[in-house]
Amino acid sequence: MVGLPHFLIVSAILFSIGVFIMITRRHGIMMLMGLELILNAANLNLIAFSRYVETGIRGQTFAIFVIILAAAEAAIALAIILSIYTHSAKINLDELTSMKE
Amino acid sequence: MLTWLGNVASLKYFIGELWLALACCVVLMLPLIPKFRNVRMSWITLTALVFAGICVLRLPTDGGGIFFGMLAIDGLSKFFKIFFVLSTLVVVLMTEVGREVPDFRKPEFYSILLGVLIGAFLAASATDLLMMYLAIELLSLGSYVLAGFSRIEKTSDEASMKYILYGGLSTGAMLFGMSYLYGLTGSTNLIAIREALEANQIHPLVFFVSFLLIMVGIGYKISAVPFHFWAPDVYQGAPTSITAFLSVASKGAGFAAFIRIFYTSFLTLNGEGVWSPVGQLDWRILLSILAIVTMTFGNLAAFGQNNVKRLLAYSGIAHAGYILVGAIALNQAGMQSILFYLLTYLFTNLAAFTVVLILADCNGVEEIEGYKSLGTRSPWLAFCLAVALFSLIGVPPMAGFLGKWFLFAAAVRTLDPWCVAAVVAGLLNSVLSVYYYFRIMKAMYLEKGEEVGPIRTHSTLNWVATAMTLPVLLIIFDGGSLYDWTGRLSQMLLG
Repeated sequence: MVGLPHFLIVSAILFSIGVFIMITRRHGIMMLMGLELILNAANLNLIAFSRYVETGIRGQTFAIFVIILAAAEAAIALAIILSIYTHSAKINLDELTSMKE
Repeated sequence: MLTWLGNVASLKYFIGELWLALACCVVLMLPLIPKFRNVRMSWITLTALVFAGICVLRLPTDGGGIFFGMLAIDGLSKFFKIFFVLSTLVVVLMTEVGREVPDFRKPEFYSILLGVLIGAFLAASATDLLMMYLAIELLSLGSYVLAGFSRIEKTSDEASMKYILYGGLSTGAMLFGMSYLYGLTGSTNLIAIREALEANQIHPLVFFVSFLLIMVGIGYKISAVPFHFWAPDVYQGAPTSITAFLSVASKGAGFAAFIRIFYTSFLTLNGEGVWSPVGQLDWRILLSILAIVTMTFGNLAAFGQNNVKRLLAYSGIAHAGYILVGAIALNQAGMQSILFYLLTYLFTNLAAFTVVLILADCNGVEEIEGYKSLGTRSPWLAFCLAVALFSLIGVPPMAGFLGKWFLFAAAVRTLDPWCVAAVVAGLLNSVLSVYYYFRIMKAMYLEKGEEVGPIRTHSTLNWVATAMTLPVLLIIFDGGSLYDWTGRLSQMLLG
């Protein structure tokens, strides 16, 4: 029988992988994928809680909004990455150091 | 249990946001019609801002919850809405006159700016986790784009990319924390969450994790220390008017969200305007350590900076630390002094950034080197900047002194050892900060630069600088009644 703990464990693992990617990878696109994992981990949590803790659909509504926002955020991030790539052909955060003193 | 207004009944409290949303669309669409291509969109934007400001001023401070408990109409949201409108007005003026944003891109710029303003409005009044998350994302997504708006500067893109990637990480972490909070309490309404936290035996570890993750998201917005690393790069790379917006309005929105979530959900009000942490979790120690580290780091890192925008970014980090001192006082006076401090910080910082914009935009100078002999070249601008810097240090007759005074007094009066420690750290830090603010003043008044003659400037910007400097100088004469006014507006909907 699959219960709430199973969902929570999977989402915790997803979240950890996402944070790990965001911290270790310096490639813009890879970091975006890490971000997507974090948001989906939260979605999984919200839906699981909505099913097992609360009887309403608040968590599911929340998750739908998060999915839309994740798409918007990815669109903006890709546009910015594209613009930076056409300007300087660099995509790694480590190479973008024109402002360090 | 409170009764919430329904959707239609709520609309009369929502007119300000509706005006802004309408203006947001008009400003974006109107230039597409050939006949209106040359209309100056700044006028429409300014008109919408004035209308929204009037609507906000007429809002009651006890309207209760609207849209079935999604938003609160209370003193706190009214204060922050006034705060955001004021700062956006100045930012629009700065952008319109400045040359960092080319004319043909200004409609988009204002449209996004108005969207960000709506996000800030919602963040100040949200009483639901979903609404809070949406508001913070609306605020952030627009800010990411605005930070990268300058096509002239290569650094702008870089700033934008760092801002969005780390911003996404921090709001994602906050969302994850919110999902745990929802799981713990079975509700997304902030007031219902507090009631559930008070009533039920909650798992302290899960609550602590959820608290920490939410703090990550908020800490990023207010640029508190482990989450500050974006601030210097973004402040330096973004157009100067957006730097001013981020340092005032975006930070203000962060504090609004902070007060909203923490004072509604994580604290219990027990009479006489004193709050105590809900559950067994005493996070006051954690926040005071955060405040001390934030102000110390901000000040120390500012020492070696030569770019004035970057220097002001570190100064902004330090000031986030000072404001957090008011938050750990956990009483009415603490909250009131946060509002007062933010108000003085608005005038001070906008005065400083207007002068920085004049130098950066009209004269291409961003380094401290370029400020040499500004005192003889343009005495009035140098005076405005000097007043702003004195106020940032907290020298007596200026607004910043009053702000710090109320903030630290509120924290000391609690006699909590951690609050007192934070206040002592704040005082020491104010002394530390003298060094780097004085570097700018030394360059302006004591050092001789190569260029002579008055600097190129723009009359509108001169007026803005004057209008922002005068309150900084004059607040001392009537600081008491202004403090009372923030007191009346520090009432919030707590259920």
